[in-house]
Order: sequence, then structure tokens, then C-alpha cells
Amino acid sequence: MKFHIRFAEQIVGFFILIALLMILVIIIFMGINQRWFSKDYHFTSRFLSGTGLSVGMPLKLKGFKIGSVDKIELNDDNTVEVNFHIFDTYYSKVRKNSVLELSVSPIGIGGSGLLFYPGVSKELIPDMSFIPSLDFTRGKDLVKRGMVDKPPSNDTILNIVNEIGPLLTNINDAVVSLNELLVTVNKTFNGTSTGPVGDIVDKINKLTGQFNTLLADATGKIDTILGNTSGITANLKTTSEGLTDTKGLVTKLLDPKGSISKLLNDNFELYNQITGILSGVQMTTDELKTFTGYINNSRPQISELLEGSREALQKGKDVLEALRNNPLLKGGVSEQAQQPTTFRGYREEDF
Amino acid sequence: MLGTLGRWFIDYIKGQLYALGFFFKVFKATIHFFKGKQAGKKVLTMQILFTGFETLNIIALIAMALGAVIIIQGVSLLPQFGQRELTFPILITIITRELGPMLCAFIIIARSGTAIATEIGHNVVSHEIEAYIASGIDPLTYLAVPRFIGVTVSLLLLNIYFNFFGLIGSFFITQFIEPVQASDYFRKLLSYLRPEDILSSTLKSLAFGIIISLSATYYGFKVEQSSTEVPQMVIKAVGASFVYCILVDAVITLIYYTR
Repeated sequence: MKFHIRFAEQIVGFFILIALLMILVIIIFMGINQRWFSKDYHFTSRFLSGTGLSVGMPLKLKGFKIGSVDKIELNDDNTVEVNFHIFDTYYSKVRKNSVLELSVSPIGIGGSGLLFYPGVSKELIPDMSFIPSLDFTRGKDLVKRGMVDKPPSNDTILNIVNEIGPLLTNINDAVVSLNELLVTVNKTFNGTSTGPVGDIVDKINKLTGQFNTLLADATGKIDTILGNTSGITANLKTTSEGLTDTKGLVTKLLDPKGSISKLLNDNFELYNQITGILSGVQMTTDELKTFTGYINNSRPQISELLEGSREALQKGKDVLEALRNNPLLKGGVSEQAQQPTTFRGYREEDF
Repeated sequence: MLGTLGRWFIDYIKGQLYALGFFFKVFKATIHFFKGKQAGKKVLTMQILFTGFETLNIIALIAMALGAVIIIQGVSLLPQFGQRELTFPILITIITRELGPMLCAFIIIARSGTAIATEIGHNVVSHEIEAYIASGIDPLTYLAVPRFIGVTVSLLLLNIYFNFFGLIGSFFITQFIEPVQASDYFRKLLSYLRPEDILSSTLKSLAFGIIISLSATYYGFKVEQSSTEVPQMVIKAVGASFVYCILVDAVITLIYYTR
């Protein structure tokens, strides 16, 4: 008889026993590893989104697994409630003002996790308490006020991505500013800017135009003056030549039988006539002065009269316009033959 | 035409009722199997020996090879995506939850299911069943129940061995190709292995064992007169076992993922 047939019962018994032992050992080690027999502390938190969260997800503190997620629920107010537990060995880290952060990798792989940051207080948070997350203002305020032991993130990709955002914003702002500067410079050089430099450029442009106009005008005048100067110079030359001539103007003026000599020796006849004329002119001037004074005194009345006349004319014009526009009176005044005035100036004469 | 369809339907219903009656009788006989001294206990031991122990070498080989391939692929490919940790969930999903019970079932169908159907079929053809009845031995208690229990228990045990060799034995194979730190490997493996995985795997192997043993014994007893019917019934037993195993596997998997 074959060995395994002869000892079939022993072999089968051994076969069953080993299998049972194996499953027992695996279950025991599994229980130890998964802390079935250890006390865990349960807490809740809330997040804006459940993306990246999963049941069994480890809760980490500085890279160490300190607990895991038990349950995820979507609340009525569209927030995500997370129930999780923390191992008793790490319960001393669960201090007042502790916060949670859900770190989701922006490229989809690696870097994600539920991170725990303990508070700086020494007071422990009791079991079944609420621990705020950084998704909400309460958690952010705790970090801002320095009440959380939160080291800077060591996720390189996340840090780079976080840095890229502000960097791109700065670059964008710089490009926008540069663009605005270029537009302003263009406007300034075109003289259309409203700034001080634009005004200066605009004024310089206008001054240059005016200077050019003046220069053209002055050039014309200088040319005329130069032309006149040439004529004067020619006359002076002629006069000079006349003066130097023995039969010229000076000789004629100094001639005792000449007109000038006769005029100067008329026994004050010419002088007396001139004096008389001047006396007449003096009298006329005095009368004119008196008349002018009267006119000056009468100026307010004249002004009032003129103003009254102007108002009367305006009212008359309004009346005429009203009559013309009135449909009942329109055309009601008969045509009259116009009598031309007898007083006509020479300027009104037809040619 | 209508008469043929009606006859086929009536025969089909009769066949299903007969199968249900057979399963019920086997279950009932199983409950009473361990009461008192039974001649079938020796048959049970031999059945576990043939179905379980003698299949261990094949199961161990397949499990270690499969586990080693998953670990090697996992530790070489997944770190490139920063997902090295996924090696363990993948290993547990394939070895423990999905492929382990199914591969064990397929091996048992091919090895023991066919053997049981053939043996019982020949018993029927050679009128041994009538001889058992004439001797006062219930053929179900003596032939079907030990095979039913033996195959079911063997599949459960083989599934445990498959998991052991697939999860732990494959680690030692991997050391020759892609060394992995033992403490890190076992710590992570045990942290990812959940009681639900073990329960799902056990349920599947239990269901597969019941399906295979019942199909094999049922189709074995369905042989009537000729020995040429034996291979036909064996083929039917194998086909039914495959179909029902896959269906039950799908249902349990569905329950696991929708729980």
C-alpha cells in the first residue's frame, strides 16, 4: 500500500491543521498590525470637498501614520464630514487647536494625504471631538495666529506649483504695467497725454510752431528793412555827394538872394501870422475841451438812453416776431410802399 | 412545434426540480453524516487526500508564480508613477479576493470534478448503486456526501494554501529577482489585508466547493445505462461547474464592492 494511502488520515489531519494554523497566524498578525486590540480615539472633521479622501486613508503627522479615515459623508450643506481615528500611541499629539489638511497632488499622482498638525497648546482634545480643517476659516485662523505647529510643506511639486501661481500673477502684472507704460510713452511722444510730460511736449510743439511763424514773419520784415536800408544808403550817398558839390544844395541855401534868406528877413511877418493861427487853434481847443466835459457829464444819461432804446428795440422785435408767428394775424397787415430815405450817405450810392 | 416546446419546458422544469431535490437530499444527508459511525468517513478522508493534499503542489506552484509576477511587476513599474504602495492592494485583490479562489476552483473542476462524475457514472452503469441499496447503504450518504464535504473542505483549505503561497511564498521567490525588505513587505501586506478580503475569499471557495461537488455528483448519478453517457455527463458537469462558479463569483464580488 502506498504511503499516503496508508497514512491518509494523518496526512489529511496534518494538511487541515497546517492550513488552520496558517490562517490563524495570518489573522493574529493582521490584528496586531491593524491594531484590532488597541484603543483608538475617534474624531470628526469637515472639508469642502471629498476629492482625495477615501475610507482607510492614513492620517499622517510629519510622515508618520497616526490614524486613518473611518467614514466619509456628504452633509446637507454640501460639506464633507470625515470620521477618523487616531492611535492611542499618538493621542498625546492631539492637542487643543490642532488642525487637519487635505493635501491633494495637483498632477494626480503622489503627494496626496490627510495631514495632521498639532496645536501648540498642552491641553488634549477629548475623544469624539471636532478638529477643524484648513478648508475653513476656523482652521486658517488658528494657523495665522500661530497656534498650530505647522512646518512648511516638504512636497517639492506642491511647493513649486504653489510658487508658480504668485509668480505668474507677478509676471502678468509686470507685463500689464509695461504695456501701460508703453502706451503712456507713445501718448506722451504724440502729445496726447494728460500728464506733465505730455503737457510739456505739447507746449514745446506749439512753441515750435509759433517760433516758425514768427521766424517767417521776421524774415519778411528783415528783408523789407534791408531793402529800405539800401535805399537810405543810396540817398545818403547822393546827399553826401550834393554837400560836397560847390554848386550843390548848401551853396543854394546860403545864397543871400535865396528864398530862405528872404523868409528869415521879413520883419516878423511870417511869425506874427503863425502866432495868430496858433491863438485861434488855442481858442478852438478850449471850446472843444468844454464840450468834451459836458459830454462826459452826460455819459450816464446817454448810456441809460441807449440801454432803454436797446430794450425797446428788443421788445419791438419780440412783438413783431409774435405777430409774424401768430396764425390769426399772419398776413393781416397790408403791404405798404416803402419810401426811401432822403438821407443817404455817399457810401450807400449805387455804382 | 408547440407540443415539442411544451414538452421541452415540462422536462426542463422536471429536471430542475429533480436537481433541487437532489441538492436538498445531499444537504440533509450531510447534516446527519457526522452522527454515529459512518463508513463514508473513510471515503471523506480519501476525498480530501485526493482533492486537497494531492493538488497542493500545483496550487503552490501557481500561487507562488502568480504572486512573484505581481510583486516583480509592482516593485518595478508602480514606483515610476509614485504608486509603489499599490503593489500590496493589487497583490491582495488578485491572490486573495479574485483569482485565488477561482484558480483553485478551476483546478479542482479539472482534476476532481471530472473524476467524481466519471466514478459515479461508472458506478451507475455497473449497477453498483443497486448493490448499495440492496445492501442497505444509502448511495447518497456513501457516495455523494463524502465527496460533497471532501471537495468543499479541500477547496477551502487549498484556498488558504493558495493565499499563503501567493502572499508569503512569492516573497521568497522575489528575493532572487528583485530583493524587497522583508519587514517592510510583511508590515505593509498585513496592513492592507482586511478581514473582508479573507471573508470574501472564504465565501467564494466555500460556494465553489459546493457547486463543483454537487454538479459532479448530480451529473454522475444522471448516467442511466450506457458507459457512453459517462463522458457526456462529465462534460456537462464541468460546463455547469464553470458557469455556476463564474456567476457566483460575480455575485459575491458585486456584494463586496457595493457593501
